[in-house]
Amino acid sequence: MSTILAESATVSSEPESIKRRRGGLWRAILHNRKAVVGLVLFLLFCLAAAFPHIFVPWLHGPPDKVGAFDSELHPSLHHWLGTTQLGQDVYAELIYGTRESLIIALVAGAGATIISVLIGVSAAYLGGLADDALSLFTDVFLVLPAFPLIIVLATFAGKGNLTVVVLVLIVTGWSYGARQMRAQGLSLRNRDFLESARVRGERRSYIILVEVLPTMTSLIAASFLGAALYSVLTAAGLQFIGLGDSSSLSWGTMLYWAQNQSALLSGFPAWALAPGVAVALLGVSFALLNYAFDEIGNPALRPVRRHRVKRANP
Amino acid sequence: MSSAPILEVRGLKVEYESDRGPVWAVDGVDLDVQPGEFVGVVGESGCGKSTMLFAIAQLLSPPAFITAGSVRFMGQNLVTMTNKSLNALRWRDFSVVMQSAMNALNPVKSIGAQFQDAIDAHDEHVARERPAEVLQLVGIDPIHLKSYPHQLSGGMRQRAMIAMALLFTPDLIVMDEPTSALDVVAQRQLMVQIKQLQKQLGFAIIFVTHDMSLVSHFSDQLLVMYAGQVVEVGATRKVFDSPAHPYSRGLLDAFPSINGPKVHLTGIPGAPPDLAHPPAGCRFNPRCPEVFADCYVIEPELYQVESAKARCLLHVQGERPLQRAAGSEAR
Amino acid sequence: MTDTTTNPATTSDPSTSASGSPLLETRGLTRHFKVGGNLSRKTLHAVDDANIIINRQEIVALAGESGSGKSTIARLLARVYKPTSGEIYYQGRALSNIKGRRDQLSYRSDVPMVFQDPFSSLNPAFRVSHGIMRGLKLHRKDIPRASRYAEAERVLDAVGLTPASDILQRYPYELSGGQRQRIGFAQALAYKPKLILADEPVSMLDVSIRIGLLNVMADLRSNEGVSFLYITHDIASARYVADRLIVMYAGHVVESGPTEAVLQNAKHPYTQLLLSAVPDPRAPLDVDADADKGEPPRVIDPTPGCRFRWRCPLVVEECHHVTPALRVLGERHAAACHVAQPDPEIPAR
Repeated sequence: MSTILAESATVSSEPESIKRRRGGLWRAILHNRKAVVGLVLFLLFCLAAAFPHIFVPWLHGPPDKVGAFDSELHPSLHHWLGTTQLGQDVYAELIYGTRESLIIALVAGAGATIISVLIGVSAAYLGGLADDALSLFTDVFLVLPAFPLIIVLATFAGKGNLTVVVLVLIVTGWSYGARQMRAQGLSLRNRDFLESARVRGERRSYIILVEVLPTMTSLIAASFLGAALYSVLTAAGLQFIGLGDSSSLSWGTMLYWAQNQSALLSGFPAWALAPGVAVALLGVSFALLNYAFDEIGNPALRPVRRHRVKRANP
Repeated sequence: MSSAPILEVRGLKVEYESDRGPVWAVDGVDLDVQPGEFVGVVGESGCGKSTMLFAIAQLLSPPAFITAGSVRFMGQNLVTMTNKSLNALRWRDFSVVMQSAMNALNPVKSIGAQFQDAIDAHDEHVARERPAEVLQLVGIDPIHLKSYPHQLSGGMRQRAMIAMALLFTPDLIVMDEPTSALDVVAQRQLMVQIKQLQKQLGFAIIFVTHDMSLVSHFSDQLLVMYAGQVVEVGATRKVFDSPAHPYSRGLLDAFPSINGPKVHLTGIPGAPPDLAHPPAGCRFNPRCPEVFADCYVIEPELYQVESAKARCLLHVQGERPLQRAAGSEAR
Repeated sequence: MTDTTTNPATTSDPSTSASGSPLLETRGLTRHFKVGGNLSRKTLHAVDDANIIINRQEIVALAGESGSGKSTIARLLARVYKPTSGEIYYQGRALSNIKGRRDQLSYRSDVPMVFQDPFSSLNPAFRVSHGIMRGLKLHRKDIPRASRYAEAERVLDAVGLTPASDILQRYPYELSGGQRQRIGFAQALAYKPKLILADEPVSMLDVSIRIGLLNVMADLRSNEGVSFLYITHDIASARYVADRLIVMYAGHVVESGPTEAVLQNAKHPYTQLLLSAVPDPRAPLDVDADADKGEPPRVIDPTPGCRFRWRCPLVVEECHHVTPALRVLGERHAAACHVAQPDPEIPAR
């Protein structure tokens, strides 16, 4: 045994960076400026959804009760965003509406992502006829014109049902991610560590679940964020044109009622703008988190906090 | 060869901007290339040989920058030249052959079209038959001007790259591991071809490789690089027959031979240093079989060893102790 | 996995060791691939009619250029591909008879594989202990769960990675290429294998690191009794570490025998070409101005005849029509060539 040249652990020449990496995902997020902003925004929204009364402590009774306040008030200290034609406080509605909008985004996003992962990765790994069939299936859904389909489905399936809206979003939202998962799965397919697992005798299901998926986490996270973003925007759109439950309270329904009451035209823009801005901000928070995941997963994208060198040819 | 060198590199330093602090990928390299000379640069991964080559060819992109030194090509310093003047020189006076032709050739254009691109880009009046001429020079049937890269074998692609580099008959061709993707027989063919072309056309070559034995029969001058520095330089035969630096010796010994008696070999233990935090003193000290106390403190220069030079304290001339480096990490 | 199936008569590769029947033997092993899309009928002959023998405690080098079929043979032996025809016998038992998960796992634990690329052979999402522990779980039922980690440390020691407990906890990106390849060997060693299939295990490593790993292989053979099929395109490293050498060209085995015999007395013109192409800094240059300019062919729907005939300096008429078979030409030394001459002591068979 003495003739074997021992390779001692000399890699300890960089203890600092190893420790930093060992801090893991959390540290990486905290170090990334975009991630922090996105995370803070997202957490604010979550807080508003979970505990809306924190933000609107002075409210008694349901926020959308018609006639609770004087109608048609401009923004003031009492009513930060004014009141609607129906006597509701816009700000209170906005905060309470967060819950439904957020639920739609997260549930539909998660559902679409799960399906896209299952179908995409299986297509990549199973190959052959199964791949052809699954890809065809994906492509059909990809190519279907989304909005008309959504409208048709929503109308038929029962206008106004939250479950229906979420299901419709999942059905129309999974195909894009599935293509990405398949592409990533294909590129991983010939990596030696997968072949190594095969040669080790692992079952296919094990390989897909345990060996492949963990290497795709950043893509899956990005896909989820994208799907959630898509869901927020599309749900707002659906509700805006009246296909949601107009008696429920969410940003989209606020837009619907604002449009219904011609808020913009009558000079009360806050009612129309506020939910729009909220949707946009939630989208921004997802997008920022998405950037962050990209940068975490691929160090080449990170902005180098450079120490400037003095060049010989400036 | 007593004429002036066509390439004179002095004190070349390349630094990477990084969030771990400065990284000197190339740390003070000197190099002379005579007209028509074949210079081999050998070293393992991370030694800086490819970075040095790119620096010489002025092809570095951020975050790598040349931070010191000069690269005088036919008297002009390439480092301080403007892009415009550089472009006038590129390809006409010096050209580059990349490591992997598969990455360097455009897969959606025919070979002939790419040659034409190169000709057009350098605005030179060349005969219309030039592309066919250079292909013949490297032993490819000119009919392949119409072929796409994927239709050629690996060896042919690499030769096509060399042909492209020869379009304007430059004085210097710089090659970055052009044979590493090839099989041993194709490698041999290519090396012989390159040497023949060199004799025929008289250009100088800087040939970067990790395979020392590959250049052993072809290069006139040999540079061995380690951790961003040149650790040995001299006539090829001299370096092979009596390597002065323990790293060169270790590297040579790491090649099992086909002929001769079978010997047990040990390679070189350990790994190259992290260039952001190189060891104090001689950079090879963690792995050197002949290390002694001074090696941990003094940074060796290139000392003359008969007709070659080696960066090793074993060959220091004159009295000891030498000046100590002021602080082991002073830069 | 001992089996009393009778071992058929000796094949044309008379390399069986003195200690009895070979560990692994292939007869007429063939693998074809369909190329050109779903509607084409073209077949790529990756391996044709390969007869290979590997004995116990021996390192066999399988050398050839790309397209020679050497990697395909490794995958056939690793059961990644099924043979198009021909058979593989492991300890006398035909692989096609090995069905059922238990027997298959048993074969896999006896014949693991080490891969070429240290940067993709370990799953980057897990610590390096992951592969070893999974392997122990699947293939070493003799070791109770509590003792698995200790066994993992033992195999790391055996391949020279110290301190084992520290390295086991690292992620692949924290290790160098040479260290990762050693982990690959450790993973294979954890199964207590009989034969390790090593597919170009050192080609992607720096030269000064390669020797260390080749020494690991030699020591594993001597100390742990493991055989190796060492696939490489580097003849010099084959000479350094292998007991026997098999040379392949365009899907055919063209020469095989004890390493020194093949290298000092190469019978097949292709072997001679390979040897002349190996750069040896210590030997004087032997540049033939009319040096071979050809390349190995992609063997699609070939006709009978020697596949080296277009590049062969010794080609005769027969070479164009009859595919040469492996003939014994020396002491356990065979070549597939119509013009190769046998050693004087061997009576022509």
